[in-house]
Amino acid sequence: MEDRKIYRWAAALGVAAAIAITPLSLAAADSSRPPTKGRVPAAAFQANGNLDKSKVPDFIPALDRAGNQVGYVSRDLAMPDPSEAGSEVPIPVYADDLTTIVGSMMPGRGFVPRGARASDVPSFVVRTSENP
Amino acid sequence: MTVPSGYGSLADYCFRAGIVDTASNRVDMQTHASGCSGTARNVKSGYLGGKVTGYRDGAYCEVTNALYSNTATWGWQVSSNVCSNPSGTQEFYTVGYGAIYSDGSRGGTVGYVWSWRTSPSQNY
Repeated sequence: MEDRKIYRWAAALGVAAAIAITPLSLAAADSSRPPTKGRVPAAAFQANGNLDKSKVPDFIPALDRAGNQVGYVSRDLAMPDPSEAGSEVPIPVYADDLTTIVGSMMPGRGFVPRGARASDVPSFVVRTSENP
Repeated sequence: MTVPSGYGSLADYCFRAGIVDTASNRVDMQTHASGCSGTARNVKSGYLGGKVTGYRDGAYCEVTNALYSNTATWGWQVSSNVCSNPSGTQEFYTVGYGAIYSDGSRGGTVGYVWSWRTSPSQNY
């Protein structure tokens, strides 16, 4: 059981990451350039199975359920390290200025506009199966 | 260990990500003793878990909650249509995160794996 504790997806880490990773903190981490934004290039998905996040802009376009772009999400929150991937924390969605928060991406629901309640957005269907 | 195309590179476990018809994103977690084939062993209920993130044309769609197995089993799959699928040509990616826990000396492991597919094969 100790292993299970060690490797349990750490929601607490996700919370810390959500707080720590903001456009401001990104700029502070590399003050020589403003945050970048853009789509994930195919080259980021490497043939060896790794994700090369150095090829991914700091902020990625985010889509709502209908496929409309609603803003941008942080690369580091959208593509967490595996040890932090169990976080159920909503990801902030920023406007084009990468500063104004326009809503959030909620696991299991998708985009929730700022000011709306998560319960107003229906959860989407997720299927599970044993021994696929 | 030689890792088959589209499979995760985690020794002694198998994580797979995929996309099937109508842009259904999925991730599999399996406990095969050697990579993605051979004898699998059951682990306790709640010891396999996964979540799926979808990308369409390089944009972030949605992510599922992390869902865990509810029975003793050797394999668990989580799938969802997390991206819209309008007519025309798109490029879809799945990034699946998985977790496998164990009581034994192997310990547990957490990892991710990805897969991709382009439309119009997704549009029927």
